[in-house]
Amino acid sequence: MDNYLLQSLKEKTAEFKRDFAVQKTGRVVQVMDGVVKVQGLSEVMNSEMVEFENGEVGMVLNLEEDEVGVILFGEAQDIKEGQKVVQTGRVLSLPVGDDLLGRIIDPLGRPLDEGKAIKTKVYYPIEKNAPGVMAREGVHQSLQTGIKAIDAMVPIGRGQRELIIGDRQTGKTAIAIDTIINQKDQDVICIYVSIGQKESKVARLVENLRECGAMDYTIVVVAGASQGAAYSYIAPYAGCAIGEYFMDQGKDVLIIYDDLSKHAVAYRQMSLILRRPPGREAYPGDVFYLHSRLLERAAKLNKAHGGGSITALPIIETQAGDSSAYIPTNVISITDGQIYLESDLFYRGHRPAINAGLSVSRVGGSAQTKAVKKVSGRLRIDLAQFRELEAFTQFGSDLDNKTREQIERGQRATLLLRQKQYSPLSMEQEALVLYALSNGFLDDVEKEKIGEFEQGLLRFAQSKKGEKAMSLLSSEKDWTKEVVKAVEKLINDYKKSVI
Amino acid sequence: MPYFSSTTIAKNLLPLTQKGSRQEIEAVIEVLMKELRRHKKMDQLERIVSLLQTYADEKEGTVRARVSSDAALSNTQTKQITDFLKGKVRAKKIILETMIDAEQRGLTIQVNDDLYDLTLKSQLEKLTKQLNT
Repeated sequence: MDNYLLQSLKEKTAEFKRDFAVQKTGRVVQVMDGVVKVQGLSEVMNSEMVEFENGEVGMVLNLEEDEVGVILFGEAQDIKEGQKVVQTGRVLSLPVGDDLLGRIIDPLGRPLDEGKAIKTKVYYPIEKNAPGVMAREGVHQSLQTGIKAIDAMVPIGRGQRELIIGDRQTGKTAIAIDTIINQKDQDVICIYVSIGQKESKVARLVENLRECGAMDYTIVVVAGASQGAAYSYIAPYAGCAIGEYFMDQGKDVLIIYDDLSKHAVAYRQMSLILRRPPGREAYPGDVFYLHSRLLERAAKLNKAHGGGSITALPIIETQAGDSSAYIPTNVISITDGQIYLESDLFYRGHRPAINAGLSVSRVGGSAQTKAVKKVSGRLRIDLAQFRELEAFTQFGSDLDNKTREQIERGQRATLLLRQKQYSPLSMEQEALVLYALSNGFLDDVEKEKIGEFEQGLLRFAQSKKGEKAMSLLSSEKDWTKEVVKAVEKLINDYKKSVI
Repeated sequence: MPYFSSTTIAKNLLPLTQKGSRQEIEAVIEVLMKELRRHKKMDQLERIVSLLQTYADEKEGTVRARVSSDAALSNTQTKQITDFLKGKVRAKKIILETMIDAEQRGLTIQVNDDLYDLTLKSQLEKLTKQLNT
């Protein structure tokens, strides 16, 4: 053993060359909130990493005639005027690879979870050009969220960008987490990017993911509220770089950016300190580009480029339901649809609090399985008509039969679309429940008992008696005569058993 | 009058320092000091002077190198450093500005933004990195 150690040391020291490389240096002239002004660094590139004397790392953001503006990843306490700053010659990049699965890391790729050191030799740059037009193909494969309201009315496909937008405490993160949990055994790698969130919230979230077995295929990137704006700024790009590694391997990736409102605020803070001219709401002029270049990196690649995909679910928090504010409208125009959550619906008990009228998926039915598509066609129309007529529910017996029917149908649909958190449904379960609704099997069920009926039906379907029908539905993924017959028998058998 | 960067001021002062009369130079310096005070940029003065020196050196083909060592350099060492720098920079004349740092073991040579670090500390750091790979 000693000989091996000695031999190993001799080999390594024999390779050692007592030479030196020239370092390109500068000098700190000013330290501000998370931003350092440096003189010198005459050949530094934009977005290049630099190192300070205390070991902290920064990134060059401003190249001016006299000095360079550097955003600092770390504490500024030990950085003094006159200290040396050294160029690294590398643009900001982070380690990527399978080693990251199940880990919690910061935007520089450093572990935060007291696990083993991350050993990977592959580094991906944080900023990268989005795939070109010819490298892409249309979104055609479904990404099941497991949430009935979304999969039925606002279906998401692999490679799509679907915005989740709403006021605080409306269930935005809950939708994102349920989607991650539903990716178990779906061959989708999930990345949750936490931007400026409370670290206690992230800890709770990770615990929930672990309990549901979702951490095996999930990576959590954290730029906490206590860390500087620089971390919040690069966090989504770091998450996207990790996703691109897997996409380049031909895999499907789901990335959640929670949330981009805080990302824009962090960028505004840095830009104002760097004296960039403020525009509307004091955001810098390129705040649209901040998000467009991020979200354009989500794509479905064609077979020639590996066939992988990145599906992005950015989250935006509105104030008092104002979706016409600057940042929300920017991101709405970039994404391929939005899931709009309302506080009003939330407090009335409709959870997920999705406004079916304002929510849309521009990819639509091409990302839906046929089984769900065929039974959810009327759902949006029924709910839209119900919303128009909802005010008349108090008139009860004064309404004509047709109106009363529409109201009844809408009420049942609304109640059926409620779903508990951490309870995503499989495609077959969703198709079963929606089939029962759209074909009148719930018309004789009391409205107050719709939820109970649904739970019972799903339990019945999972038992031996429902095995055949569910297995057929799972394999066919469409409503063939055989599937229809089996499913209708299942529903009728269940109804008989509860009477 | 708008405020110009230190680089612009130094570049514009250079021809004046080389060809201007004493009176002209004094008049310009008075205006410069007034403008620096008005824009609260007096802290830029040192930078302007340093840049002026750099541009003047560039024009004359002179390179100034700051050499930091733990002991005074002998004539042989000074010549060795000068010969080394002649191979690295294009210059008609190399001026060494030496300083002693008793805590440093080894040598550093700074030429503008380029730093040649020949200290024992940097060599040990390099060795550590190599042994860890």
